[in-house]
Amino acid sequence: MTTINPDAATDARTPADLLRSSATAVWLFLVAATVVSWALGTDHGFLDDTTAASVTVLVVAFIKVRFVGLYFMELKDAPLPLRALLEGWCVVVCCLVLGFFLAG
Amino acid sequence: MTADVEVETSSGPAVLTERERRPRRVPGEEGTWIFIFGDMCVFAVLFCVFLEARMSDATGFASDQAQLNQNFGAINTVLLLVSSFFVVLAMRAVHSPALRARAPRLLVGAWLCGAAFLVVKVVEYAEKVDHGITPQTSDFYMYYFVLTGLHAFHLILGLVALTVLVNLAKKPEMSKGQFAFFEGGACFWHMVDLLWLVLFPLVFLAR
Repeated sequence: MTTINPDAATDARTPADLLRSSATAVWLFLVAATVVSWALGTDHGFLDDTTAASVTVLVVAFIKVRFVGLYFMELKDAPLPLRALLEGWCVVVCCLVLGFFLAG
Repeated sequence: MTADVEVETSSGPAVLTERERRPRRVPGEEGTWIFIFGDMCVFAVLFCVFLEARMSDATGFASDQAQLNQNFGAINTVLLLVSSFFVVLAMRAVHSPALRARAPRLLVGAWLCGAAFLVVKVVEYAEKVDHGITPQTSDFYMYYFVLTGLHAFHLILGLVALTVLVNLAKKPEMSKGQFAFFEGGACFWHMVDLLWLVLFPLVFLAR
């Protein structure tokens, strides 16, 4: 059983230690998701249905927002009401945006 | 990362104890969060207002959007993601006695990526104006300039905050209040990134 908390940077000694956190994995996901969204939203898309591609791109955007909030803003370790505010914003605004988008 | 996986996949009860031992805390001042979520709600309303306007002229919005250069938007997204990551690394560096001295340089890296975003934005606006496109051209372009302009204004505020953060990071010690400002400033910068993560697909990509 490890007692190392990879997200606590107090023990970091080398620059590489700074990268040893969940935030690094999240960042790689965010960059990959951006490239996929760009491909879906432009003529390089691999989904023929533009509406399906657009909905995917919008949903992915709110998933990215949630990850930035949880891991970059460190809200995953925040008191639950503050974390709930972020989760709530993502769900409500994502639903509103999709609703308005699909009605258009 | 190995340790990370080990913690995640270790048998249940001990992990929970470890998780529970970590105290939940508010990053920065509580007031900062009222400001951040207030701003996020203002933008949420603007997203809806933009899409509501699109409902009455979907064809016009689509043809105007087709003239946008999505590559500028994508480059700017990556610039802000890199910038935010520099801030994450700087935050980790200030927690580590051995690496604290690196924090100011990481923040300067974040600042430069933010400034590069603005340069790309200016090039993008200039290209539009060159083609005779202004906020008066159409509803779509009015929203395009207002939404991206308001975001750029927040980015400029964020660059000012990052400048303060660089100076705070240079101090050998930060007071409790200074550290709260440091965390709040970092979170504000992440909010600038987060808003762009929605604005880019909404304005540039969703068809």
